[in-house]
Amino acid sequence: MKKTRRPARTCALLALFLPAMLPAQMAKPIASYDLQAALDVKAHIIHGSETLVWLNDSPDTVTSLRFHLYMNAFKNEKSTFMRESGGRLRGDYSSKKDWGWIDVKSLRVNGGADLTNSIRFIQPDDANRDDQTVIEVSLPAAVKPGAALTLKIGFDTKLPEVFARTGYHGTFYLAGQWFPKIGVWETAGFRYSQKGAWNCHQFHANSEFFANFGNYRAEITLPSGYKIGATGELVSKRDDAASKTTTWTFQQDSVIDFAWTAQPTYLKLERTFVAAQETTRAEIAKAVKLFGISSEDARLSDVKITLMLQPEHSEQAERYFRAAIAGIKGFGLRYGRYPYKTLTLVDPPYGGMGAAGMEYPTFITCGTSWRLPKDVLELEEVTVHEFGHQFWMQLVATNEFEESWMDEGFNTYSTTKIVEENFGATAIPLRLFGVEVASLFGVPKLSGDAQNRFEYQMLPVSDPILRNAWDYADMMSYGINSYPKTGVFLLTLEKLMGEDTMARVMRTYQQRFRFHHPDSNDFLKVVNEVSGRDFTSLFDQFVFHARKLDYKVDDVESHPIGTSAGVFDLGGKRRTVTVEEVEKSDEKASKAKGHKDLYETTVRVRREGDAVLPVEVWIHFDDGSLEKRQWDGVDRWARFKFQKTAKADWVELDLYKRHVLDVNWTNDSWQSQYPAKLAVKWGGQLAFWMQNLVLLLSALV
Amino acid sequence: MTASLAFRRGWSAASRSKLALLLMWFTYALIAKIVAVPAIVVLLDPLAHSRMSGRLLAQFDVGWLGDLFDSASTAAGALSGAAALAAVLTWLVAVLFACGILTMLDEHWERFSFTLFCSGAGEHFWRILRLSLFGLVCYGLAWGLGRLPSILAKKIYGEGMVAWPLGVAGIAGSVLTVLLLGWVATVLDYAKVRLVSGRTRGAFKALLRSFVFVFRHFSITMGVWLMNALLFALLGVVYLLVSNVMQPSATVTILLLLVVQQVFILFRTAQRIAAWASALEIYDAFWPPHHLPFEPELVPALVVDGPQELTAGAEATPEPQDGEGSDF
Repeated sequence: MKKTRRPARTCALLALFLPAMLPAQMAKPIASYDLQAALDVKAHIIHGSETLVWLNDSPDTVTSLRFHLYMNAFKNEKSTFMRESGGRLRGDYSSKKDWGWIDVKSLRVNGGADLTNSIRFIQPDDANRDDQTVIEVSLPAAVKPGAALTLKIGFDTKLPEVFARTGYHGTFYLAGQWFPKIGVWETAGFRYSQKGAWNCHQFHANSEFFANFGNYRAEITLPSGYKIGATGELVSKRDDAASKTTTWTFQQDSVIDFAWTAQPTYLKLERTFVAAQETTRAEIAKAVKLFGISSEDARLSDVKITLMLQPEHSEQAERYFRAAIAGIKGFGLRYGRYPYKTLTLVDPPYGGMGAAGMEYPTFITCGTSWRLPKDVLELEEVTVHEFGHQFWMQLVATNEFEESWMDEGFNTYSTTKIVEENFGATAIPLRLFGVEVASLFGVPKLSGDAQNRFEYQMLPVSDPILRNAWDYADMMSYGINSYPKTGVFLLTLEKLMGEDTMARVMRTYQQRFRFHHPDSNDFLKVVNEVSGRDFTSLFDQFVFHARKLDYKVDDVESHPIGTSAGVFDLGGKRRTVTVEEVEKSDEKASKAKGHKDLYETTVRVRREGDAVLPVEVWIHFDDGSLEKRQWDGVDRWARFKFQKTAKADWVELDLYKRHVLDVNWTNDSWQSQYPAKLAVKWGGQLAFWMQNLVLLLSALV
Repeated sequence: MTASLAFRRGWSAASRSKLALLLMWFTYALIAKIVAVPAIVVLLDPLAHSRMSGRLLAQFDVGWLGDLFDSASTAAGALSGAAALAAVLTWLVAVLFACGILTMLDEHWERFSFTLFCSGAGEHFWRILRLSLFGLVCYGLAWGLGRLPSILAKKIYGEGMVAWPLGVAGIAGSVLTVLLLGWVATVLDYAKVRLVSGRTRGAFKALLRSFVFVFRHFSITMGVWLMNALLFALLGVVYLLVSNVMQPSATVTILLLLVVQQVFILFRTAQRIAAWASALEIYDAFWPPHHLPFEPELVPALVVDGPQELTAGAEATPEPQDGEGSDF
């Protein structure tokens, strides 16, 4: 079989690194893989090999290669990942009984030198000699600019009990980051690079991944009876009765990774997103008008959706499909059509939820729970979010190690919009004897924006948004800065420039950097260019630094202005006005018909935080008049004075709540009336619930 | 004696116990205020003159909780102190009320007597206090037993790929926990009755014998508990539905809601008295006779010489006629 297969494989390899011979590629293939994997379900080991074609698409001469061996993060407790995480990630725990690792058995230049023995482990980030997630190998012959290098790598990957996105549980397998992956060569001027060097970080607890685009082809051999889902399209399936195995071949061009899943008891369901049916002419027309694009550019493509579903979640299949359709449509209309033909959704089993909530090209792991109530939108949120990652970092392939905000935060912002548009706010899960009771107790539903802001307020200034993933103060800081704080930042940006302008910014950024690797400055440039304004200061304060935004209405007073006592020079004559004369005069004036008291109103506003943003100050008077002043926020406080025949009855900073980043909206306003009704209502409610608690306690005596 | 008869008689006694009911309601309301008042000050102080208050009056905004986060963390310490004080007071007052009201119920609806209440409280306080401590242990055991279904399910299915057995076990465990806690509460009520009415001195002995008693008359004793529990659940759901619909932001609806809330609290307070009264009924029906008529100790009369009329007895005080109101 080998002789007949070699010509076919050669053609495939040629096809991988000679894009000119093929129909137009979406991305220039830099790192293309031809993978073979055979899964040993008893030992949970993948026996694998890969042919990597790496293109030196830089003006540099490259003399060594670096690879990620991500799976070694789970090899022992001394790895950088395990030291930083303590064996815990996103609520999941490593069993510490069944570890994971990857061994490179052989590494050869195709038709050339065997480099296996010159592989060495390096630790470019933290000098932890026990960490084996990055290898380096020196090349006997340097790779010249524009040249391609073909390598053959043999490896064994042991999957751990599911932890940190990958592994097995029972008969469920999720193979993510399972093969040796070459790093990214960054030439001078590429992102932040000053000179040509490898960007190949160790696997940290908080980090995710970064890779070049390429074409992937994978042959995966499993025991017959296993159902499989993977990145890309299924090209062929071959049964081998003798070994009772089935080999599945998948292919996908212009992606940065390849993952797959297998389980014999999956329910494999399919649905097609038919663009012509799922989108209306009005929606296309709206996109055309908003973005100034053609109908062709606005139109979406059909997508085949495959759902790998756990049998005990079978009643939730429709929810998964609706969420995926909402994502394909919502993201597509906003940022440009999803360019791939397939999308695979994976529903991990109970016990395998460490693999849930993760994104790979055209392949996402979602997650739900048994009997998830209809109005608890966890399933929809995670599905739309993971699909959204197709746009923010599978297509616009930012460096998740160094700029996690650009995928997680951007996706948080986008997902919030699409989930709310399609599904509304989520109910807070509250069950009593298995029955959902949140609505019975009047617990309000939670919008995505409210949720993001609330999470942001928990830790508003621990770190700048932009930071290496492993350099944040702790996991909570990483999580809040990467996800909700960025979501709040982008929402603030949207409110400052307008929703339509922001939509154009995001679409321009997506289209311009699709199949590329932008950085934070690239996004800032797009923001300034498309909006026509300079938001550098905003980025500087919140993305590149950690400033706290908090404005406050400090003091409001309205004094009546009457006659004044003292010595006055009037008409060349000096006159003394006594206090008694003043009182008489004021009394007489107040009794005059049509008299209105004159008041001097003083409003003092204060900047409590260290972030400076211009802000509007609105002052309303009890005669119905409204004044607006602009304050640049540079000084610590500002004072505004008014003389009117009316007193101020309310004052508010940022009336339209554009400053979502302001950590405290309660102190942004003042009103003359004390909220007696609120005090009575809440006082009564609180007393009532306390009385119930007291009675419950007394009943136990 | 049946469960429904005991249930009805219990509520009948509670409805006649207006003064006791009001006293309990008022006392517990005061204790609740120990926590509620500082909590409302903490919540309202930042709102003070903020326009956020108007928005919150119309509709609660979860985002406001984030605004509160800063000030709440410093107030938490003070509030937890108030909560601890309220918990201790509740415990002591609950014991006092159990003693006093059970004593008065045991004396069969006599006119409310503060003296009787206090004498009952004084006589039985320490025994019932000890009983409540034993009760804590029983509650702990009951809670632990209630977790057994989940623990067992986790042992059997925890390494599996399906969650439904654990889900079912969780629900079963919750139901079992409530039933077990209700059973312990019922046993404690009978133990109190035994201490007060049966004149038993040993709290632990009373507890053990009450376990036996409740077990022997399970359907009746737990039947009453179940009826009260269902009534509570039903009225609770009705209250929640009504309060959700009311959406108070107008003064009238706010005041109406406060009234509805206090009616619910009065119901819960009355339910306590009804439970004790039902327990007394059942105890009287099934326990070996303990209410022997008072037999005066026979003492030989002192015989002295002299005119007999000088050694005659004192006048008896008139007994109240049947139907004359007891108003406690």
